Order: sequence, then C-alpha cells, then structure tokens
Amino acid sequence: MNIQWQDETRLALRAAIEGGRIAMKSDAPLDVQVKESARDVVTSIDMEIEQSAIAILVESGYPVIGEETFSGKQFALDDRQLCWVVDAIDGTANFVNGLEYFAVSIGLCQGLNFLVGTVCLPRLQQIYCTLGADRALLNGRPLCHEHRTPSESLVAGSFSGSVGNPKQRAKQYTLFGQINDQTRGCLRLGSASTNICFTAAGRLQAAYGMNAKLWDVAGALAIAIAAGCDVQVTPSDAPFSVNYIVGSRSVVAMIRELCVAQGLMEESCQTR
Amino acid sequence: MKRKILFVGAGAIGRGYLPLLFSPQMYDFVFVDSNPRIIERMRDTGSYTTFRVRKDQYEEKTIPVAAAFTPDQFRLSEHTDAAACFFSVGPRNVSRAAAMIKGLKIPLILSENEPNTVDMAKSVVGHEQVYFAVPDVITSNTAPQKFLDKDPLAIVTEDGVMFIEEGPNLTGDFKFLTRDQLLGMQWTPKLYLHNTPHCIAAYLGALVGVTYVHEAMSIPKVDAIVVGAMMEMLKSLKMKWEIPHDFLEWYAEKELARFRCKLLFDPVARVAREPMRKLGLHGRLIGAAQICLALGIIPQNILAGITGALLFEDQNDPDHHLAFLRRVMSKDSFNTYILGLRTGEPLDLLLCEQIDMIIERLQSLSKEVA
Repeated sequence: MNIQWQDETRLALRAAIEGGRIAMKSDAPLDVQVKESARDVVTSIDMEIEQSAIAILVESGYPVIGEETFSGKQFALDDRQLCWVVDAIDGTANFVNGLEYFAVSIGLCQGLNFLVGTVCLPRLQQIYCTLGADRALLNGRPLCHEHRTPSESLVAGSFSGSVGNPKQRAKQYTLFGQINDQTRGCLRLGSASTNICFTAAGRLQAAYGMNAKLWDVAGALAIAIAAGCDVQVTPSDAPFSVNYIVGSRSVVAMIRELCVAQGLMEESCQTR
Repeated sequence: MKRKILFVGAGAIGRGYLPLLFSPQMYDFVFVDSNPRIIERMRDTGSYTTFRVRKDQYEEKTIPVAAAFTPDQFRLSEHTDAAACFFSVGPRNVSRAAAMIKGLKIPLILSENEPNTVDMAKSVVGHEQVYFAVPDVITSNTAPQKFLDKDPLAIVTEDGVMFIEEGPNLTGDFKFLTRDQLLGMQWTPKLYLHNTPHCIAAYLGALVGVTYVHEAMSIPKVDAIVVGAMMEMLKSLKMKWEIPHDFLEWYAEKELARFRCKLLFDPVARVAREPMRKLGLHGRLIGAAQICLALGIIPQNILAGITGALLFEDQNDPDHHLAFLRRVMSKDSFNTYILGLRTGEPLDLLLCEQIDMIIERLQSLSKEVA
C-alpha cells in the first residue's frame, strides 16, 4: 500500500504521541497562567509539549508554528509554503480542570489545504491520524464519517463568545441556540480538535467554529477531510484564524445557512 | 409457492455455505455482492458449482441463481417479498450493507463473527428482527484448480452445522437456539477454540510463506504453536465458563482436525486478513491472551500468534498500514493506542518484554522453512 506523506505522518505521530506522554506524566500541581482572558490559560506543560513537538517536526525541513511561540509576524498563510501547525494542548482549560477533552494537535498545511493531521487525546487513549488524502484512522482502525440528517445529529461548537464585541457575541449565542433547537443538541466541549475528531469518527455529526486559530483545527480538519466529512473553511477576520463547519453534508449545509443568515460566514466559503 | 432469500455478500460463507442449507425447491436465491465479476458470472450462467467435503470426499452441488446484483443495481422495492436476508459481508461492512436494506422489514440474519454487529444492524435497519448466527464450518473462498477450471465461482466447504438465534420463520438444515444458548455453547467455543488458533495458524502460515492453512499445519513447529494456543484456551475455557469439559475437548480436537484437513484449501490470506480487527481488545487474540492471564495462565503460544498478526504483511490487505504504525510507534505507545492495553497491565508488560525475542524466533522459523 502506498501511503502518501509517509515521512510527515511518521513525524506527526511521534510528535503527538510524545506530547500525549508529557501531558499524562504531569501529576505535579500545574503552573497555570492566564493569557487574554480567564478562559485563555497556559501551563508549563503546554510549553514543554510545544518545544518537544518542534524539535521532532523540524526534521522535515518545513517551518513549524506553535500556539505558544507564535509571534504573529513570523509567518503568513501562503498557498505555496508547507508548514506545520502545532497546538500543544487544545483545551487547556479542560486539562487544568481534569477533564479528558483535550488534545495534542499537529497539522501540516499549505495555506488552507490541510494535508496531514495527527490528534492525540491522551486521557481517552485515542490517536487520530491521516494516511494520505483519503484515509483517516482512530487507533489504527479506519474511520469513515456516516452522513446523517440534522434531526439525527449531535453537534459541537467552538466560539470565544467575543467578550469585547457585543453584536458578535449576540450572533454567536443565537447561532448556538438555533443549532441546539434544530438538532439533537449543540455541545461546547472546550476543544475544537476534539469536536472535529469526534465528528470524523461519527460520534458527533458536525462541528463548527468561528475565529478558530489555525493551530486549534489544522490537524483535525485534515482528519475530517480524509474521513469523508463535508468541510467548509473560510479565513476569518482575525490573523491566522478560520471559520469552519465540518460533518454530515446536510448538517453542514444547515449550519452554513444559519451562519450566513447571522452574518457570521460569507456565502463563498471553500468546500473540501 | 417458492419464497425468496437474499444473500448479501457472495464470498466464502454467502456463496459457498449458506445456500446449501436451503432447498432450491422451496426458495429462490438472490445474491448481492460488491464484486461485479461474481455477479456477472452468476447472471450469465444462472447457477454455480460448489463442493462440500463429506466423509473425506468432495460432493458437487449446483446452486441455482434466481437473480444477482451489485449494491448499485439492487432495488429494495423489488424484494419486499423476501423471506429473509443473510449477511456475510465482514463485520466492518455491516453498517453499510444494512443501510442498503433499510426499510425492508424481513428477518436479517448475521453470521459475522461479532455479536455486537446485531445491535449495529438494528440501529440502521430500524427494526428488531435481526438475529445472530454461528456457522460452525470452515469454508474456503476458493477451490482446487481442477474445480476452478470447471467453474471460476467454485468454492470448497466443510459439511458444517449452522446455529441461528431463534425467531426467523425459515425451513432448512440448521438449528435454532436461544440467544443465551447460542452465545454460551456455540459462540464462546467458536471464538476461542476456532477463531483464535485458526488465525494463529494463518499468521504463522503467512510468515513461512505457504498458501493454505493445512500447509502451515504440516510444518511441525507451526502445528506445535497452534496446538499450544489451543491448549491454553481449552484450559482457560474450562476454568472460566460452565461448559461441559468433554464438549470443549471434542470441540478442540475437531478444530485441529479441520485445520489439518487437506481437502479444504483454506487460504491463509483469507483467514489472516484484517489483522487490526483480529487484534481487537476483546477479540480472538488480545482478548484470548487477557483471559489466560486473568486465570494465571501465561499464553506463550497466543503471544506468538499476536506477534504473527503484527508481522502480517499483505499489500492488498485493508489493514496493511499496521506494519507502518508498528514501525513508527514505540512498543509502549503501540500497545496503548493500537492494542488498547493499559500501561503496566500484564499483557502490556509481557509484550514489551518478550516481543523482540518472539519476533526473532518466528523469523528464524520462517528462514528454517524457506
């Protein structure tokens, strides 16, 4: 069997698994620092994982962007340049609180093309990865998203709540409520990559997010695409950020319609 | 008036064994398979030949085909009058196959080697008439060349026994059992006294480069490992389940004789396929080893089988990526994420400690045979 991106997948797996190992060994009290808001926290474990991932991924020769070391100036999204995008712990608030929904996420992108993804959920003992463009695995077993209708669907969303922007905030909560009303429910698990991987595996039928940082979702979006999810992605206003909807065809279409109606997404977003 | 039976999956069991259980005078046979070559041939000839081994001889049987379809050609509305539908599509394909007959309220019988496929199928088809079945038989997915020359769809099967969970209104050469009887008396011995040593024979056969299971069993060191694995499971089953010991002993002897049977032409590639599935946490290899360890038995021969599965390399196998994962992951992370073991549990420790040694032993066996 010819595995595309074999070397990159090997590095991504090593980096994600090592990150998971670091996260699991941390039984000492965590050193938690608040970044931009009470919900935006970082620990020394995030830093350790990111350093470890960078050290592994640089072997490929591609640049590596990590959430904790990203300065905003070092790199712009470029359709010609391959680059690794790392989130040491996506869902740090969950991690700090002892909840299992956090992930070490590694993605290889070329602009908004998501080529390789590995997401490790160490506390759930789960590793998701891509094997080329059309194969996704969960713990080595092939994943194939089964498309369902909105009334059969459970959805998860990721959004900041836009504290400083009351209009945006109102729209996001309205959207959340609308999706909650038109499906079996809308969850907010606190980790975008977890939401997307659960969707790829068919445990959820869709996941969406507004202004998500690329490192939160790059690895998981590659997995969702390879698992056969409908994926719509568009760059958002914030730097290095995207709006995305992934999952079952009709559920993605429904959420997209609601987003467009709320002015949260433009009609011309990319479908993959 | 004749009734219609749908066979979804026209491979070894679906084509080679199940139709033999029913009288063609009472039932019309309709086949659905994703392989268009099988379907075209069935349509062109209107029948095919299969060979049943009885009393150490082949018995030739002609199976009439009323209709045959690929899934794309299959129209549900034309089959609402069917008496029952049998699935033998492989556990991974049950959900997709069930979606194809969603809305058809007829008994669905699954002989898929995994009881949980019944609930999976129920959730897709939307009714409760879904039944588990245990075909106690070895059916090859091929035949000796002389038979294939006559008919490329020829298959060789044993004269087995079919057990079906009671419920469907069908007449044929099978036995109905309650679900408890089926799982306790048939499924448990089948899983651990048939599936476990059978796949170990196949993985060792693949390693030494033979084509059929009986060829693997003709190598004394392979036979010894398979018999060893059988004894480990036999001892465990006697300790763990309340199944009469003489029945278990008879079952184990019967299975070993089957694996050695030179008439069956049971391909190693068929039995060894999808090693990831066979390495499932509660399945025939990892699950079997866990049972032994929980009872204080060191499953040395089953460990050799697990290692054989990990070493299985077939470019055409859907689980061919297993070899890639084993190469790129450390032993402990492979045990955790791929095999699903808890760090530090006995099987994890045993595998971490012994796997290199077992690999060396199996590779030297392979060289010896070569």
